[in-house]
Amino acid sequence: MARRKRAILDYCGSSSLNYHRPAVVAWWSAAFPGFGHTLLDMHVKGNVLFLFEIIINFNSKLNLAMVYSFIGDFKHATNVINTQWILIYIPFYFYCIWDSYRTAAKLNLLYTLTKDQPVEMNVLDLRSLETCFLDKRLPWVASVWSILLPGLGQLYTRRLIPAISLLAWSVAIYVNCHELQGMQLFIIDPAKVNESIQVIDAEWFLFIPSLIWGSAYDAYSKTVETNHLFEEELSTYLYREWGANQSRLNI
Amino acid sequence: MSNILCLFRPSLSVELLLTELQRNKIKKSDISCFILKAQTPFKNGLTDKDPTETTSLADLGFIFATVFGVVGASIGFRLTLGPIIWGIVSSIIGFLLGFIIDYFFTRAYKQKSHSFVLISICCRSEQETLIKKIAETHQVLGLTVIES
Repeated sequence: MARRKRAILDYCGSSSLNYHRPAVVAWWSAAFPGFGHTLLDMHVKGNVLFLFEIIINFNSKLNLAMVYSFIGDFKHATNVINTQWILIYIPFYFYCIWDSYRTAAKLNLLYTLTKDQPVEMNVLDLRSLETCFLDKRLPWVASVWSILLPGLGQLYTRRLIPAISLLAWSVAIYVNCHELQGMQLFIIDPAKVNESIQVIDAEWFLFIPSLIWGSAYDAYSKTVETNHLFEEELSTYLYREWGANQSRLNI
Repeated sequence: MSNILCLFRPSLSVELLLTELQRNKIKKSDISCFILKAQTPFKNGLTDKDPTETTSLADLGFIFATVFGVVGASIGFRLTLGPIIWGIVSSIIGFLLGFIIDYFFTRAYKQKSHSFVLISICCRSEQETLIKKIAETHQVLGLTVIES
């Protein structure tokens, strides 16, 4: 029995040690605190940070200030921000980035220690509660589902915990930002474009690009990783059970 | 006696094929599997960038899409078509830009190579057609028969 397992599979999904570029993980923590940890399969930490990000960002009106800053309206940007909350935000934000970078670097070391060992893992977890199994899935399909509604790609690529939390947050963010309402108004009557802009809540709306692209990236990269894991597990099995040493070979 | 060599991509169909062969009275001891591992060009040190890491071809695309999406959606509040359309447009532009940069500048050390499974089946000549038929229904990539 290996001291460190390379991969596991249970009814909540699969998880494996993989190489992650620390800078990329740190970037996703910067785009949306919590995403970096989700990418590293640290779902409790990731969800706590995700929740904090939304509470602190919403109360400090940081996104709104960002909108004003990008437009060039710096006076409004200064006025709209809540000083108390923004001062909480700063250490929180940098902790997320630092912690995910550090963790990714450490996990890479564990990956190099374990990557040459054969993959011995459960490939099917059959339960009355939920069934999960290892097979190959299409990375682009996963990312397209997540672009359509963040969380669906995670469901497709058997990441049950991030799928549930992302779906919940997607609903909360979509409903609060009124993007779909604005889109509907615009499609029904393109002349009402100003009305459709006014209906959108900028504070909530700015969560959307990070949410969509972050979950699309997560779904894509995890599908690639799990496909790789599948191949390695199959190779281990075939080598052990069907290798040349197990049979008489005459060519 | 003859020997059939067939090549597969690693997938569930390999295991299905092995089960199917056993069901058709081909003994396990007559079958051997070989893994043709994808070869990675070079390695410098343990902790260096991992060349087998396949996800990074889209890294920059997703990152740029987010950056462009946030900025584009913000500026969109001032533009005629509004934040949604500008957000989507700038996200797509960002994604393509990032993807193109990754594609041309980072592809060199990420040449993707595939793993394959080579299966050798030792059988009597009259079993050949049956085995070929089974292999064909399981997405075989190539097949050859060696008479001996």
